[in-house]
Amino acid sequence: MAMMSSTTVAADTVAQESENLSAWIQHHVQNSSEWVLPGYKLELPHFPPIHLFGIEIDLSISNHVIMLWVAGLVTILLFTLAFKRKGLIPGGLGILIEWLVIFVRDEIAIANMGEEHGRKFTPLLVTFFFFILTANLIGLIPLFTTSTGNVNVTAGLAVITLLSTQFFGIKEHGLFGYYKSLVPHGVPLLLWPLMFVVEIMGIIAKHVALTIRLFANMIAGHIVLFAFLGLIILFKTFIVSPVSVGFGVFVYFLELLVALIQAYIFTMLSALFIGMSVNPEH
Amino acid sequence: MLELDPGMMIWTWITFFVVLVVLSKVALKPILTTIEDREKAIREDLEQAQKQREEAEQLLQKHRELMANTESEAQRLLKESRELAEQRRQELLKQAREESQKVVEQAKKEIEQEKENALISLRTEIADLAVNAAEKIIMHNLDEEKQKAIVNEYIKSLPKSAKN
Repeated sequence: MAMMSSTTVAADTVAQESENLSAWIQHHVQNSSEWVLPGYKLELPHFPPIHLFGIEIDLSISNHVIMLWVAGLVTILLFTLAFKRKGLIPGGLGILIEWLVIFVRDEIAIANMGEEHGRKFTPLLVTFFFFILTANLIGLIPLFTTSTGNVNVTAGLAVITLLSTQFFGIKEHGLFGYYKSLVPHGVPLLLWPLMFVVEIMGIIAKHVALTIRLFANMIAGHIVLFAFLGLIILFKTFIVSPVSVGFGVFVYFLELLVALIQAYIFTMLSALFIGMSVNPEH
Repeated sequence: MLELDPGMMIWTWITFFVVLVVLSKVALKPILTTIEDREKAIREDLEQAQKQREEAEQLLQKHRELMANTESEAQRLLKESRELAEQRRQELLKQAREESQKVVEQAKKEIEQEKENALISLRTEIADLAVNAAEKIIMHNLDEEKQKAIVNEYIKSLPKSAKN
């Protein structure tokens, strides 16, 4: 009986611990209004929320906003530092950046949009790529958090893609022409309203998928990473630490790869969507 | 984790557009221009190189043809001059032979002439000598009587018809 009760107690403790653990992980990947620096907890400014059209908009500078700014600054600095030169031949970091810019231009923009549109959209796509890549990679640095692990950030980026597809599609083909081009050729007239609704839903689904893909990929790595480290706390023993740290390091490297791949995929799909709206199937 | 936060979304847009604008103005425009300039420069260089290569090949072809022509020309000239020399040699040889023939003939003729002359003069000399000798002998041996006798003898020996 005593043994049973002690087992129950242990089970309860484990359950409680794991609950604490999940709360701890949640806390780590979530947005917050503070930035924990070594030995100092920076309280970020908090503004009262604005009510607009019945929506509560909280424009306070949260942790992820700071991370976005850092990512933006790093991106801009990377480019300005790499290209402080004259002439046609780059050096050092410039070569890498330039290679990536050429890659985005040739393999992503021009490959999906065609020569003319590809060149026009290259700045947008390069910004997407480098901004997302830096935001992803910054999340891997201790003390920094992953802003792209916030669904609102990825949704914001996906909305930019969505608005670009609609805006440039309409600009290219006219309001009526663009929405007419959504429905594939050869559809009977009676099915047009249905097909139109389906296509609109398809567009929304594509961009929701774009949002969730980046968000889930970025947050999943961090959750796994914290979960591995949390095992040490959960089991209250250092014996598991080699396993935890080993897997943690493995996941960290995986995360580096995922950061790059997700930035590429987001840019690639944005290019594809914009390309599809500016040159619809003939 | 999935709660909506419009403020965050707005901040994302603001940040993204600031980055987009700054990057486009500060970095991307010059970078893309540089890349395109470089690509253009490389393409032009390649085209130029191609053109120059073609030109060089044409030149080489021409040069080779010229060389071949020159070779055959030289061969022809050599042959011609050899023939000419041979011809000239034959001519000279023939001429020399004729010349020597002529000289020999001339010499022979001269020798003949000289011999003739010598003979004539010798004959005259001998005749004179003989006459002189005969005169001397005759002067020595002949007196009036003998002379008369001889004349008579001579007259007697004349043919009969001459007597009339």
